[in-house]
Formats: sequence, C-alpha cells, structure tokens
Amino acid sequence: MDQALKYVRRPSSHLWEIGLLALALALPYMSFMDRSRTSLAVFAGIYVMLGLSLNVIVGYAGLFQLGHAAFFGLGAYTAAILSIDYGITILATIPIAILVAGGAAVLVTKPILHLRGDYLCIVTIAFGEIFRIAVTNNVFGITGGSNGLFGAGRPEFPLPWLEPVPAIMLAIILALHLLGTRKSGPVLQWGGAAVIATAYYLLPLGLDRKPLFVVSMAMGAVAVIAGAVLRSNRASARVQMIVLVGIVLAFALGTVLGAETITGEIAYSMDEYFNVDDPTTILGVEFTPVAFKRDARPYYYLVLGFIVLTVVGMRRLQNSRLGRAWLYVREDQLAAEAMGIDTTQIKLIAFAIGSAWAGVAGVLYASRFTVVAPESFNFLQSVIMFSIVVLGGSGSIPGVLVGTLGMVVLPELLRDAAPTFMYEGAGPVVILALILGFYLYHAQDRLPAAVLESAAIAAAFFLPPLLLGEPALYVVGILMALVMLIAIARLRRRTARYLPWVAGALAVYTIVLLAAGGSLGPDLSDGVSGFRIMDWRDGLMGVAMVLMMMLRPAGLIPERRRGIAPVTVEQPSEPIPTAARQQTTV
Amino acid sequence: METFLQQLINGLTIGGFYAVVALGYTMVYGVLKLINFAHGDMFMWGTLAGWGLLTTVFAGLLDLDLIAVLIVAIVVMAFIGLLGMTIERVAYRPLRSAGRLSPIISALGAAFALQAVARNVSEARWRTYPEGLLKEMPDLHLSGTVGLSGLQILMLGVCAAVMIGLYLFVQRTRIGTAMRAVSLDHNVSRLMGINVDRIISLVFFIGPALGGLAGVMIGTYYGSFNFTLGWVFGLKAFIAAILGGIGNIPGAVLGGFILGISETMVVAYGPDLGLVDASAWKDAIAYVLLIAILITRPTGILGETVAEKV
Repeated sequence: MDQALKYVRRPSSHLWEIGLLALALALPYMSFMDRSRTSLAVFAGIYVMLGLSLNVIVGYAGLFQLGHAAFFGLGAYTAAILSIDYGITILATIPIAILVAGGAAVLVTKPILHLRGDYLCIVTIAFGEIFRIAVTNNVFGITGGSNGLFGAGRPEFPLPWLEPVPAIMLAIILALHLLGTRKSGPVLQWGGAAVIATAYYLLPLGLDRKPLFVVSMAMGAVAVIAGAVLRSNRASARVQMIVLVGIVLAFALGTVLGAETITGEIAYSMDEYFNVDDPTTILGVEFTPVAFKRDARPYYYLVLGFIVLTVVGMRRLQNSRLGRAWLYVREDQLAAEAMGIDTTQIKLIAFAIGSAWAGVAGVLYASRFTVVAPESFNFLQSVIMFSIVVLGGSGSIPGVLVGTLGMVVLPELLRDAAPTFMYEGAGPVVILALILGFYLYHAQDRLPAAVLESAAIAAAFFLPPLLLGEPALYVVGILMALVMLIAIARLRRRTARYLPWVAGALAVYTIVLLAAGGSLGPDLSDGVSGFRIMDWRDGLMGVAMVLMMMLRPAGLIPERRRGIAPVTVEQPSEPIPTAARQQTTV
Repeated sequence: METFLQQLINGLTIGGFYAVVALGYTMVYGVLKLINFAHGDMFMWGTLAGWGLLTTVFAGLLDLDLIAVLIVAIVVMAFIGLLGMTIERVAYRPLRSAGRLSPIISALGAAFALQAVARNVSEARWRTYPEGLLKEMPDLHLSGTVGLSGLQILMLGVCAAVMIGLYLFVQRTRIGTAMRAVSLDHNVSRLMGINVDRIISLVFFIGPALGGLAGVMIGTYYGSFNFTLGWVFGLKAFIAAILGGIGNIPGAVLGGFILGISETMVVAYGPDLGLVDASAWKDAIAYVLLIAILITRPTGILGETVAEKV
C-alpha cells in the first residue's frame, strides 16, 4: 500500500518527441509530398504556433479568448508595414511584432479582466471584430483597406552550403536532448550527430550529391532514435523499441520507395532553393543564401524551427512558477487569491504572452504569403484557433498538434477528395474491416453482439447510396454510420437485449442488397460530377465538432493532471487455489 | 428634428428585431449559462424556411398576404422550435456536466452545420422574398415627413406583443415560475418537483421559435437575405442581450432597442461628425457599445451583480 500514492508525472524520455521531430524533418522529402502539400504543411505549422500561443490563454490560465485572430493580424500587419514602407528585413520585425501584439493585448485586456467568463468571451469577440472592421476601413491609412497589403518581404539569410536546415535543426535537437541526459546513451547520441555531420559535409567530396540528403537524413534519424532507445532502457523498453523500429522502417521504406521521386525533385529544386550563382565564402566554407521563393521547403524548416522553439518554451513556461500560478487561477481563483497570487496580474501576463506569440506567427504568415488582408483575421479564424485548442484538449501541447490536423489539415485535404473513395474499389473492404476490427477490439467477451453491431453500422454506411445512387447520399451514409456508432454505444446500456436482433435484421438486409446489387464497390464515376464535398466541408466539420465533444468532452489528448494523485493498486489476479475452494465447500 | 424622429422610428424597428432574437439568447443563457452560438443560425433558418414556404407552397396565397405571412410565421416558429429542441437534445444535453469549454465548441459546431445546410439549400446566393409583400398596408403620418410605414407598425406591434407576452408568461404562469427557478439552481428546482430537463427543452422551444419569428419578420422587412445573416445579425443580437444584462428578459429588450437606435443614428449622423464612410462603421458600433458598457457595468445595464459563492 505504500506504493498507492506516487507522482503521476514521470520523467519523460522524450522518445516520442524525437521520433516525431525526425519524421517532421524528413516530411518534405517524402514521396507523397508535392508543392501544394508542402505549402499546406507550412500553413498548418503557422496554425500550430497560433494554437500553442492561444493555449497559454485558454489552456493554462483558463480564460476565454475568441478574438485571437486580431493579435495574429497585428503581427502580420506590423511585419508587412515595416517591410513594405521601411524596408526592414521581415524576420527582423519579430521583436517589434512581439511588442506591438503583446502591448496591444495588455492595453486592451487590462480594463476587462474583471469580467466573468462568458462576458470575457464576448468582449474578446468584440475586440477581434473591431480590429477587422478598423483594418478593412483603413483606419490609420496604412493598412490598405479591404484589399490588404501586397509585397511583404521574404526572409533572407545566408546558410551553409547544401540542404543545411535539417542538419542545423538536428544539431539543435541533439543539443537540447543531451542537456537533459542523466544516464547512458550519449555515446550513440554523439555518434549519431557525427554520422549526420559526416554525411553532410564529407560524403559530397566523393559521391554524387543528389541522393545524399536521403541517406544522411535516414542515417541521422536512425542514430538519434537508437540513442534515445538505449538511454531509456527500462522495463517497457521493448515496446518503445518496437515503436521506434517501426518509425525507422517506415522512414526507410518511404525513402526507398520515393527515392526516384526524391532524387528527381532535388535535381530541379536545387536552383530554386539556393541562389547558386551568388555564393559567399566565409572562412573557407562556401555559403549560399537560401532563397525563400516559390519552393515552400525553406519556409517549412523555418516554421518547424519556430514550433520547436515554442514547444520547448511552453513546456518550461508550464512548469515554471508562473505556470503553476496559472494552474491555480484556472482551477480555483478564490483559493489562488488567498494564496497570495495577484490573479489580475497573472491573467494579464497570460494574455500578453499568448498574444505576443500570435504576433510572431503573424510575421511568419506575412513572410510566407506576402499578402496580408483583413479576411485572414476574421471571427472564423478565431473560432478555428479556439477549436484547435479545445478539441485537442486544452492545456495539452500534443493536443494542439492533433487539433491542427483536424481543423486545418483535414479540411484542406478534403478540398480535393470526394467521399466516393470510401465507396469505390478496395475502400469498402477496408472500411468494413476497420469497423469490425474496432468493434471486436472493444467487445472482447460479447463477440456475436459485436459482429452484429458492426454489421448494422456497415449497413447504415452503405445503404443510402446503394439504394438511391445519389452522390449526396455518400455523405449521408457516412453521417448515418457515425450516428449509429453513437446510438449503439448509448443504447447498449438500456436495451442490450433487443439490439442484436435489430442489428441482425439490418445486416441480413444489407447482405441481400449487396448480393442483389452486385459488387461491393459500384462504379460511381458518373454520379460524382454533380457533388462537391467542398460545399459540405464546414458542415461536416461542425458535425465532427459536436460529435467529438460528446465522445471526449475533455479533448482528444487531455492535459495530464499534475501533482500527487492516488494510483489504483492492482489486485493480484491469480485465481483462488482450487484446494482452498474445495476446503470451503466441504 | 424631423430626421431625428424618423431615424428614431427606424431604429426602434430594427431594435425590435434585435430584441426578439436576443430574447432567445437570454432565455437559454438564463437556464443553462450557455452561450448558444447556434441561435443565430437557427434564426437564419427561420428566414430561409419562410422564404422557402412563401415562394413555393404559399405562392398561390399571396393575394391574402397578411394571412399567408401569419400562417407561414406560425409554421416556421413551430419548425424552428422543434429544431432548437433537437439541437439541445443532441448537442447540449450530453455535455451539461462537461465544464465550460466543451459546450461552446459543440454550439459552434452546430452553428457550422446549420450554416452549411443553409448555404447549400440557398446555393450561396442572395435570396429575395416575394415582391411587394405586405407593402400595401396603410401608413401612419405623424407630422410633416415623419411617419411609420404600415410594415413598421406591424413589425413593432408583433415585437411588442411577443415581448409583453413572454414577460407575462415568465412572471405569471406556473411554468414561467419553474423556468425562473431552474435558472436560479437546477438541483434545488429538482428537489421542488420541477422536471428540469423538460423546462430546458421548453426554453429551447420558445427561444428558437421566437428566433424563427424574427427571421420571417426580417425577411419580409428587408426583402432579401443570404446564409451569413445568422453570424452577423445573430452575433449583434447576442451583444444586445449582453448589453441589457444576460439572463434578463427586460434587459434583452432594452439592449435590442439601444443597439438598433444607435446603429441607425451612427449611419444617419456619422458623416456630420466626421466619419467618412459611416455605414462601414455601423457594425463596429455594437462592439464599441458593448465594451464601453461592460467596462462600467460588468454584468450589463439591468444585470444584477451576483455575489460569488465561497
């Protein structure tokens, strides 16, 4: 029983972070990434920064902020105006953007901090809208009205020759990682760093340089991961090992499969990536200015660098004295006040930090898109940022990543996709397998019921389009399947007895229908033209938001509660010895 | 002076619309302490449903326009009321004990979904109500050029009737008493034998039904609308509810009128005061007013200061 209470928060091994970062570094070179997807990744990265900054206000301090887009916009406009009118290099405007956005946040929120939750919420909406209207009406004559500003500068800085950004980033991770080292493993870690360095700077002497990026990236990732695994060599190391081997394998496979594409890609991208004609030599090393032009990859690494910086900063902030003060204020303001925390001051700091960092994201936005217009900072953007934080799990950093995937990346990918891909070819089989697998995994001892229930969901999924053949009904089918999923989960408690019969009837119906209709995946190419999922994208997003909140009210990856908490002690699960049982019966 | 009076009358009419929509926000907030972001879109659905009925089913009845519009309004009220109850059941009830953040996301999600449906139904275009609807009613001339059009008289009359009716309903009837009890404390109301879920359902019928009514009235008054009406107008109506003190029925009415009148006045007198493009600033007035009032009175004009429980 003395093990019953222990610290819930364990020293983390940074394993997941390293794996994720290695993947993120390699992402632009994966075979499925084209230009538009790299652009999307940059855009999503900016939203990750925004989500992380809003997380300070909403997640850590527990305040409402539905006008965050205004501070994002302030940063973007500051950068654009300084860059266009005064010719300042765009990344040099970051300190000024921080001052402007943070200062505006302090000025604006100071008088309203005494408001209670919902009133604060509506006032932040008001500030966001006032910003948008003011900018649209060109209030100081410098914001360009409703068309916005054009021609903000692109970043410029000289970096070492050859694909330097990933190498530098990797070096940074390694440095950060090693700073926290307690036990073994550094040999391999430094070894990894050495391998990467060798790959970058020595191999080109003898080899063709084109496939080199791939080789060095893969080697670096393997080295880093292997080092991390060896370091956290504990009881669960086997599981971690399997996961990491999986990551490495996937990475290697991706690079091998995409090698042709990658080498081709690199061949043409060299000219765009660097101003090859204009190298400068410093201390014998040839430096070439990185050209931030059409190719989105330099931006990708720039934004990724900022995200890493932000995540590290937010972590440290969360565990600092200030972070703990926010936690108290969020959980119980009165108690926090009684403990001597100046709640108004603390909340103001949260607004200032969050808004200032949104300003940084604004600078990145301006430098990427070079056009800054009012409609990019409207209420809908604020809602999306807010949803990113809450859907992912407010206060949780991985939650922000997942939330961005759901709110920004998925809708953009849906732009081209049609729901028919779920109905055509191998799609139906995959979906059926998923449904069945999901249910069997959760069912365990209730096998027949689970099979029938999954059949019912499948029926809801396939029936509408099969019966009527209307393209719009694909969406209906997907929605019906979702509704079924929830309905079954809720019904199961009350009418568990009748449910299998209903489900069974539906399943038989489906099978008959499928048998009559021929193949599982009908050829739907004719019906597709009239239907565009784009029209329904926001609606689907809305339904998904409602469903998500019903299923996981605390968000997808809720924040880990900190402090001392009781941990349930596992009862010995061995059965009572038969001898003892016999004794009692006799 | 004459322009001022005329603008005041115009402002009162618009304020009446804001007030009726704001009633829906304020009633829901009263019982659930939830900002019902979907209310604006339910109200927009009212305009849309009214348009759908008047241009199809009731197209033949347009000669009897007052009766046709009344029937349409009642049908729309029932429909939007049921829609409101459904949304409460699906999106809000499961989240009643889930903290403050989740219901807001759920409400925003419901708003997105409603808006997407409306956009596809209206094909994302401006839609117009039948030409000349209710335009032949007698006008009322007060003095000189000041006067109320027949449509304005009707709108103001309906708004006033709805507000007074609702106020009496909440203050005088048993169900109204139950509503007030629920808005004070769910658990104690339950102990007093009130079916809290049913009262909340009822509130979610009445509020959106009023929104539907306002939707039909706005469609008839302005003649055209599009699917973004819910966001824009709904948000401002919500601000009206906050201005007056949310959860408070006279407050919502007062807030609606203040908002309507100040918007009209800014458009009318803004150019004289140096605002070059006054109509572009019209939307900002609501927000400026809101901030100004909340800084001085943190719970709105008629809102009571609630002592925090320790």
